[in-house]
Amino acid sequence: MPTAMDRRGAYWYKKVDREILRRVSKPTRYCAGEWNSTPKGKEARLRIALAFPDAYEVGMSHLGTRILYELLNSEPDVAAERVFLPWPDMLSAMRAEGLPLFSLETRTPLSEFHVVGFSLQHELTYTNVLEMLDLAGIPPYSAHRDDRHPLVIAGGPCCFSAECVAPFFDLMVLGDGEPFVAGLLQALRRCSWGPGWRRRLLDDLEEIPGVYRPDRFRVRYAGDGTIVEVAGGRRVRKSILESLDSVPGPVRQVVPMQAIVHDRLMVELFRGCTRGCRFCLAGMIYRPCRSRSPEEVVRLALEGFRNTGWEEISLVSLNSADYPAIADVAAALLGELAPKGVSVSVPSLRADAFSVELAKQLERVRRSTLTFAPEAGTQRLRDIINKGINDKDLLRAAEAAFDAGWQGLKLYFMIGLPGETDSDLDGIADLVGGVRDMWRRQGRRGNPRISVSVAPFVPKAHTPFQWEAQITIPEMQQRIARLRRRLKMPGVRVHWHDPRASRLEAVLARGDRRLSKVVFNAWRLGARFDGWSEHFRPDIWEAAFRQAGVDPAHYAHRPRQREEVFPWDHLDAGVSRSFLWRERERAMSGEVTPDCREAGCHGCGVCQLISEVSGS
Amino acid sequence: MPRYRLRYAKRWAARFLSHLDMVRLFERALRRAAWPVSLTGGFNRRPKMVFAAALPVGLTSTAEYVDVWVEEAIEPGGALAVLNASLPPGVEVLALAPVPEGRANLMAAVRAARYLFAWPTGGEELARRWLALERRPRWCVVRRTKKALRTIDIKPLVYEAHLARRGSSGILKLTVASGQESNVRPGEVVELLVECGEGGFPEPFCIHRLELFIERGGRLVTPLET
Repeated sequence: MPTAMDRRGAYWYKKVDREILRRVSKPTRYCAGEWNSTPKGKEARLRIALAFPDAYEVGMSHLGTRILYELLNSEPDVAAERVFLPWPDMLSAMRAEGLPLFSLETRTPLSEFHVVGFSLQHELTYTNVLEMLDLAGIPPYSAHRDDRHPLVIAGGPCCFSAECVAPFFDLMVLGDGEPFVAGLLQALRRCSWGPGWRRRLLDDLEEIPGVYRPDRFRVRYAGDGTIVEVAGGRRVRKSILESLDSVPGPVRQVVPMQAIVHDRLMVELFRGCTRGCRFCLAGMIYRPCRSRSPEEVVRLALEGFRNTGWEEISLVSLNSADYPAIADVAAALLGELAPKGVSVSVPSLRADAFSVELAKQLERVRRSTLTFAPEAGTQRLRDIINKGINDKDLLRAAEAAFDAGWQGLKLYFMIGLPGETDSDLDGIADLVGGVRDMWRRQGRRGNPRISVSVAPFVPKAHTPFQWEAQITIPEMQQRIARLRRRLKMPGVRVHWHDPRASRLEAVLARGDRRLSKVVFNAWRLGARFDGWSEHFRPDIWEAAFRQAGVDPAHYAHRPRQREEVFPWDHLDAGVSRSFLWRERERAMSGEVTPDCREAGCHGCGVCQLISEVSGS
Repeated sequence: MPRYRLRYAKRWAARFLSHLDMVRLFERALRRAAWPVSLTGGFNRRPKMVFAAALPVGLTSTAEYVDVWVEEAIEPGGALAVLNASLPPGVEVLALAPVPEGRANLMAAVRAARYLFAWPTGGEELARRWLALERRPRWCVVRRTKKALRTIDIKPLVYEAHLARRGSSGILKLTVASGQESNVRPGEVVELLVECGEGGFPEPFCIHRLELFIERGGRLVTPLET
C-alpha cells in the first residue's frame, strides 16, 4: 500500500514532469537518468544527499563530488543522491507551486535524508546554501534544527576559513573527504535514530579526524573589532589521505546528457602541490603532495572510459605538468584511445617549452586552447608571489606554441598583489606585447588571438598573504583601466573580474562569525548565484552590510598585525603560522622559496602532522 | 565502410534533450557499446554518423533515424542489444539494418514526417479547433529568414490529416512536409490551432513524431523500408 509520502511523491513527480519542466530552461538539469547515476532509493538504509550549491553544470563538473558519489554508493546500505541549486526560473516555479527541493535520482525531498552534505568550493556560493536549505524546509541555523531535520554538514577548501557560514552547519570537515567517509558511515550505522539522536551522533562524529563542530567554539571580540580569542575546544586538525592509491578512484562517473562546464572523464594524478605560490590557497591546504602511481592512473582512465564512453579524459591535479610520468601516461592512453577518437587533456600548464611539447603530444585527436598563468607582469613581482616562471620561459613557450600551429593563447594575471606598482601593470602589457612579437618572428602575418584575463587579488586565510590588505574597489578599477589602455593591441582581448565581486570574496574569505548575519541578510534580500555576473547584486550586499552594522573594509582592506588572532586560528591545515609568516617576510624581500621536492624541506609543518597522525 | 541505419525512440525525460545533446549521447553510447565506429577526418575526429532530422526539444518520437558507419560489418541483432544496454532511459533503438551501398544521404533524403498532436484539455476542444482551421483557405505562418520576416502558406505542405476520437480524448494525426526543401514545423501547426479558439495550452503542446519519410526512386518510403 502506498504511504502518504509515496502519494505525495507521485504527485510531485507528475507536477514536475507534466507542468514545471515544460516551462523552465534546460529541464535536463532536474531529470537525472544520466548514465551511471545510481537511483537506489528506499532499498538503502542510509540516505545521504550530496548538495552542491551551484547550478547543475558547475556541480557536475566537480571531481570531489564525483569521488564521494561513487565511494558512498559502493556501499550496499547507502544511497547517495545529488542535488544542485535550481536555476532562478526553476526556483520561482518551485516556490510558486510549493515544491520542496528534491534529489535528482529519486526526487526525494532533501529534508528526508539522514545527512545533507554541502561542498564549499567558493565563497560566492554561500547564499546558495541558504537558498537550498530554505527551499528544502530545513532551518538555516544549526541551532534551530532538531531531531526532525537531517544533519547538515560541509566539506571543501572553504571550510578552513568559513566562519561567516559556520552557524549554518552542524559540522564541517577539514581536509580529505575519503577518510572521513569511512568514519561517517560507521557512526551512521551505529546511530539508533531514536530521540536525541542528533546530539549523540554529533558527539560520535566529533571523534573522526578533521571534524569541526562550530558550536563547540565561542569567539570573544575586542573593542577594535579584532578577535581576543576563539575558545571552547581543541584545535581541529585536517583529515589526511596518506596515499591516493589506497582508495578506489571513481571509474563510474556520471555522464551528463546536457553540456556541463568540464564535460570529460577526470582522473586525479596527484593531490596537493608544493610549488609554494604564496597567494594560492589550494597550494597550502592540500599539502603534502601525494601522487597516484602511473599504472593506477592508466588503469582508472581506461576503465573509466569503458564505463562512460566520454570523448575526453582529463588528467587533473593542481599542476599536471609536474607529474613525473605525465608524458608516459599520456602516450600510453593516447596509444589506446586516439584510434577511438578519444582525446587526453591536462587542465593547467606551466608556461614553459616542456608544457608546449606535452600539449603538442596531446592534440593528436583534438586541439584545445593553451592557457598559461604568469599571474604577474614583472620578475620582481613574480618573485614576491613565488611564481617560479620567468619572461623567457613564457616567451619561449609562446614561440613553441605558435610554431606548433596554435593561433592564440590565453593568459591569466592578477592585479593588486602585495607590492604591486604601476610598472608591474605595465609589465603585463610588455609581456603580452612580447608574446605578440613571437608571432611575427617566423614571418607570420596578422595577429595572434590573445585572451588576457585579469582578476583582482583576494588574500586568503592559511596563505603567506593572510595578513595583507586587499586594494580598494576604486584602486582596482583604476588599475584595470590602466591595463586596458596599455593592452589596446590588435588581436588582444581583455576580460576582467568584477572588482565588487572580488571584494566580497575577500571579505568572506577572511571573515568571522559576525558576518553570518550579513550572509543571512543578503540571502533574505534576494542574493543568490553571486558567482554569476548576471545574477550578482552588489546593492543587496551593501544593504546587508548596513543592516548588520558590519564594515566590509575591516575584513578586506585592513592589514593585520603579526600577532593578531585570526578567526581561523583554531583550524589547522597542517601548515604552521610561523612558516606562513616566514614566507611572508621572504616575499617582502623578494626571496623565492623553491619547491621542497627539489630543494629540501622548508619546515611548513605538514609532514610532521602526517607522522603524528599515523603515529610513526 | 559498412553503414547501418538505426530507428530509435526518444521518450520521457529524453524529450528535453537538444539535437546536439542527442549526437553526443549516441557518440558516447556507441563507445560504451564498443561498436567499431568509423571516425571522420580532420582536427576534430568524431564518430561518422548522419542523423535524419532534428526533433524539436520537448517532443517525443518513435521515428528517429541515424546512419552509423563502422569499420567492419556487425551482427545486427547482437549489436542492437549491446547498444540498447548502453543507452540511458528514454532512448531506445527499435530497429537496426544495414544500408545497401550507394543509398543517398539520409538527411538530404527526408521529405515528410507524421506527427500526433494531443490537445491538453481534451478531444472536444481539439476537434472544434481543427474544423475551424480546416475551413481557412490559407495557413499563414511567419518565418524568420536571415534577412527578414517572411509569411508563407503551409496548407499545401500538409499531405494528410486525420482526427481520431476515442471517448473524450482526441488525437490529430498529420503528415506534413519535412526536410531541406520544404518543411512544416509542428510548433507552427500548434500556433494555428491556438489562433482557432479561445485560450492557449501549457507549453509545449503534446506532440509525438510517429514516422519519417524519405524519397527513394520518386517514391516516399520509411527510411528502413527495403
